[in-house]
Amino acid sequence: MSKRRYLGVTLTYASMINPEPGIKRAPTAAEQVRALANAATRHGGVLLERVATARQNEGLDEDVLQLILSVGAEAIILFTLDALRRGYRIDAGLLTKMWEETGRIDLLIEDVRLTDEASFRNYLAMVGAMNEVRERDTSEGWHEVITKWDNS
Amino acid sequence: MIDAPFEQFEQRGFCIVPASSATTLDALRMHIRDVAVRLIGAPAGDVDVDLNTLHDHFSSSDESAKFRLDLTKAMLEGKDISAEVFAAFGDYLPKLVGNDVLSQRVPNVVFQPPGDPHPTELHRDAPANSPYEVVVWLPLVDCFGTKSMYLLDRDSSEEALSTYRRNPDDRGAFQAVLGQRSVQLSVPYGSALFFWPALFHGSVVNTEGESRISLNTRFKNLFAPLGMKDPFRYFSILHTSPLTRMGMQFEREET
Repeated sequence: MSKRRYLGVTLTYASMINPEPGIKRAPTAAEQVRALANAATRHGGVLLERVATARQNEGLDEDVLQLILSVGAEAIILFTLDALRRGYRIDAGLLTKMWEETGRIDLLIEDVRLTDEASFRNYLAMVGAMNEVRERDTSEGWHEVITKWDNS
Repeated sequence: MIDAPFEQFEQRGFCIVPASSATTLDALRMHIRDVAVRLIGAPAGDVDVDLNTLHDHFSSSDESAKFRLDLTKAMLEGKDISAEVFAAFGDYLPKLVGNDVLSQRVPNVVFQPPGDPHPTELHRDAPANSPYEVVVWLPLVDCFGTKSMYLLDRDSSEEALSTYRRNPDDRGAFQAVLGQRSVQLSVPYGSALFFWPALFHGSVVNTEGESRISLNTRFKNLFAPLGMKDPFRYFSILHTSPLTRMGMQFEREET
């Protein structure tokens, strides 16, 4: 039986030091590729040699869709969902297109495997909600609502 | 009567409620007991006895700590534990978090054998957790005295925090507030403690001669403000209302 062919997506962190609270050092590209290869193997697949790379807070270029086709990827494995983040928003459109091309998306850091339409739709709903919530949480209007809230 | 605990929850930041589905809770406890005895290679007997005497199977803190981690992972195989907890307390939790619910993906297991020198240090969850979450602390055995946990209610947590902010180096003053104001809770099996994540809480060395085993997990509204923790790592959608599903579909397709 042939192994599922995973296209890996790594993330270039904006800062290698303290990339997020509690994490001292960001993983290098080579470390991420090793982790992705191990994860792909664990889930019955193999990581393709070509890897796509996103830049933190800039998201992933839509060229990845062409790459999926050209290397014959049957699944995507992202080091983290943050690879699809542009500012506060996760690129739900690109996530959907990647799903439509492959029907299988794994997220290593989040420990999530989207394997069927129901699991993808549920995850997409969460992405949509979190995009809206993050945008609202950081807006001036929301800050005003909270500070002027009359508890009585 | 369902509303009564929430008056206390809002005033003090916590309440203890009985399960609204004892059958669901019993099945959950049985599942965790079954996984536990499988991991330690022991025969299953009376569920209450099995859980209260879990410590008999370990000779060191390291062994019991490893067991706790193994149990956390194994209990999730084929089971959404947070969903079961939500169902067991389903008459109450929607009143706090609504019908569009995020639940903690991996509930925490706490196992405190008698005399274990590593109780839970005093802390509060928010921040970094969102203050819009509720923590559900679910004992799988009767928890009382040192076998339970302590917390400071809303006023006391606020006082402790202001004491600390006034004198960050005066550990004695902070300890005095803690000593005077902390409440050691008795939570029998069949009930859960709901508490607000901004409350200080912790536990002491369990000297009761029985094991304490409990779960804690968190729920929040899907649209509630986030804390600093990445929601995609810690939460997943448990429920959405029909209206929310319609609204989200509309947004995807028409905006």
